[in-house]
Amino acid sequence: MKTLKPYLQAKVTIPFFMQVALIIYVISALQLAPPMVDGLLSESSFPFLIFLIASPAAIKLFLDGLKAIKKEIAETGSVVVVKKKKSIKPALIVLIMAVFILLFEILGFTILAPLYVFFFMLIYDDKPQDIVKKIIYALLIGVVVYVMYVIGFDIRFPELWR
Amino acid sequence: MDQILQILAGTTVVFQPLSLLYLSIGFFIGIIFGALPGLTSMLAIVLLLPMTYTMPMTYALIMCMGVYMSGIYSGSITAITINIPGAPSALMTCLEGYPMMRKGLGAKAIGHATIGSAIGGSIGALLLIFVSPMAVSLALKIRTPGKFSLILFALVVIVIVEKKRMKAILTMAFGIMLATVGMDPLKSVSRFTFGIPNLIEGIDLTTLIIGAFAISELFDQAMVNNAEYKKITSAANSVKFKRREFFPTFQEMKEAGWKTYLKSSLIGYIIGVLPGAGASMAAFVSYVEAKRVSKHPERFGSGAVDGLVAAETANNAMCGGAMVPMLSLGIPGDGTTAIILGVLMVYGVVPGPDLLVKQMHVMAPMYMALLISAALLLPLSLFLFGPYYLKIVRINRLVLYSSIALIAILGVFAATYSAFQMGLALVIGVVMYFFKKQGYPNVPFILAVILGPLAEQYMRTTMTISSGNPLIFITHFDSLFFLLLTVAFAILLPRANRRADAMEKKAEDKVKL
Repeated sequence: MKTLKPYLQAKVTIPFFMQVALIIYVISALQLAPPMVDGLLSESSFPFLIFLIASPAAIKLFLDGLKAIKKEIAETGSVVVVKKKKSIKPALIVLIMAVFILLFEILGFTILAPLYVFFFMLIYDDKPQDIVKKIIYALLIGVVVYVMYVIGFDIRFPELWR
Repeated sequence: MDQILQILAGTTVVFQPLSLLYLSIGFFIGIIFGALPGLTSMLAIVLLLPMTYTMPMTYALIMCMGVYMSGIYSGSITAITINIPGAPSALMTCLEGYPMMRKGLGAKAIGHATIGSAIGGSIGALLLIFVSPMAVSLALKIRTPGKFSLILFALVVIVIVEKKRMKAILTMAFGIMLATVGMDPLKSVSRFTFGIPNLIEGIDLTTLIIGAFAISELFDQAMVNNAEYKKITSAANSVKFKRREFFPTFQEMKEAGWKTYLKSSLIGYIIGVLPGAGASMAAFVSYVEAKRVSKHPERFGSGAVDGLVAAETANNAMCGGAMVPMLSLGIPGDGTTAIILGVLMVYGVVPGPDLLVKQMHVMAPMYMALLISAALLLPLSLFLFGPYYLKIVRINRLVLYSSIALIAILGVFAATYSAFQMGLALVIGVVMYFFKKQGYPNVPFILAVILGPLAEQYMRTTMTISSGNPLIFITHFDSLFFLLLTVAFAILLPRANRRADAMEKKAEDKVKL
C-alpha cells in the first residue's frame, strides 16, 4: 500500500474511473438486450460500440499515466512531489452549490440567491474583506437576476411563501 | 435564387427595433465575454441558452449571432494590450499585436484587428449566404446511411484535430454516455437510469452544457488570485488611446495586403466548415500562410501587421463557415455553433436541408444578423467604443463570477424546473473540471452530446432498413463517399497536425515569455 499513494494522481485515476464507468455502462446496456436481436441492432448496440472504441483509449491513458509516474519516481527518488497549487476553494464551491440546490425548492430564490452570491464573492476574493460592499453587491445581483428571469423571461422560481 | 431572396428579406426583420436591440445586447455581451481572459463567447451563449426559452426564436438566434461575432473579435483587445488572449482564438494575435503595443502602436493594432475582423466576418457571412443554398442541394442527396457516415466523419475529424486524441476520445465517450441516459430513441425502453425515476427523461441539454462549460469554469476561476489578476489588468487600465489613433492609414492597410484579407477570409471560412476545427485553428493556419508568402517573414513575431490581420480576419471568417454544416447537415463546425444548435433544439427545430428549404424565412434573419454584426464592428469599435473596450478588464471579477454562478445554476432550473437536474449539472461540472485540469479537451464533449444520439439513431435505422446487413454503408454512394473521406482525413490530418503542433507550441512559448 505504501507504494500505491504516488499512483493516485489524476493522470491515472481519471482514465481508471472512466474505464470503470465504461464497464458499468456496457454491463447495464447488455442487461437490457444483446447488441444484435434477430439480426437487428438493439438498444445496447451503440453503448457496446462506444465501449469498444473508448476502452482502448482509457487503457492507453491509464498505462501512460502509470509509466509517467514510474519514470518520475525513478528520476526523483521514491516519492512523487506534486508541485501543483492546492486550494480548498473548488471544494467550497461544490459545497455552496450543493447546499443551494438542496435548499432552493424549500427556501426559494429571495432568501438563498443573495446568500449564495455573497459566499461566492468571499471565495473568489483572496481574503474576507469589504464585507459590507459584498453584501450590497449580493443584494443588487439578486435583484438584477430576479428582474431578468422573473420579469424579463417569465420564469417562476420557488419562494418560501409560495 | 429563391433562397437568396428570402435571406435578403431577412434583412427587414433584423432592422426592426426589437431585433436591433437583441443584436446590440448580444454584441456587447460578446465584447465583454471575449475581452475578459477566461471568459469566452461560447460561455456567453451557454448562459444565454436558458433565457432564450421564453424568447421568440428569431430574436434568440439574432442575439447569439451578435455574441458569436463580437466575442471572437474582442479576444484581440487583451491579446494586444496585455499579451493575454481574451479568447483562445486570439493567441496568434498576441504574437504580432503585443510587440506593436510595446512600440506604441497598440491603438493601431486594435484598428487593424477590427478592420480584419470586420472584413473576415463579412466575407464569411456573405459566403454563408451564397454557399448555403448549394450546401442544401448537396445535403438533400444524403440519405440515412450517408447521414450516419457523415456524423462518423465529423466525430473522427473532431478527435483528429485535437492535440490529445486519446483524451478527446474519452471526453467524447463521456458526452455520449451522458447523452444516452433516458429513453431509447427507437424503442420504449429506458437506459442507464439505475432505478432513478428522474433519469427516465434523460439529462437535459442545458444541464449538460451549463455543467460542462459554465460550472467547471467557476471552479477554475476560484484558483485565480484576485490581487494578481488586478495587477495584470491594471496594465490595460493604464493604457489610454485617443479615438483617431485607432484608424490605420490606407497605405498601412495596403501594406498588410488585400490578398491577405481575401485569402485569410477564405482560409477561415473553409476551416470553419470543417467540423470541430474552430477559430483557433483558422487563425493559426492563416497566420502561417501569411508568413509563408510574406516578403518579410523575418518581421513576424515582432509586430508584423500582415500576421495580425491574417489571424484576425480568419478567426472571424470562420463564424460563417461553421454555420454551413450546422444548418445544412446538423453538424456543428465548432463548440459555439454546437451550443447554437442546442438553442435551435430547444425550439424543436432540427437542422438539416429540410429546415433551410421549408423554414428559410426563420433562418434568414440569423444570416443577416451575422453579416450585420461583422459590419457593426467597424463603426462601433473604431468610431464609438474602441477607447472604452480597455476598461472592460476593470469589471470587478468577484461580481462577475458570482453573477455567472447564480445565472448558471438558475439557468438549469429555468430550463428544467428540476432541482435534480441542477444537481446533475453540478456533478457534470465537477467531472469536467477534473478532465480540464488534466488537459482533456471540452469541445468533443459538446459535439458528442449533440451528435452521439443522432449517430445512434441513423446507425440503427440504417441497419433496420438493410435487415441487419452492414454492407449498406458501402453500397450507398453518399455513405461510401463520407467513409472514404473519413479514411483520408484519418491518414492526412495527423501529419499536418504534427507540423502545426510544433509551430503552435513555439508561438505559445513566445506568448508566455
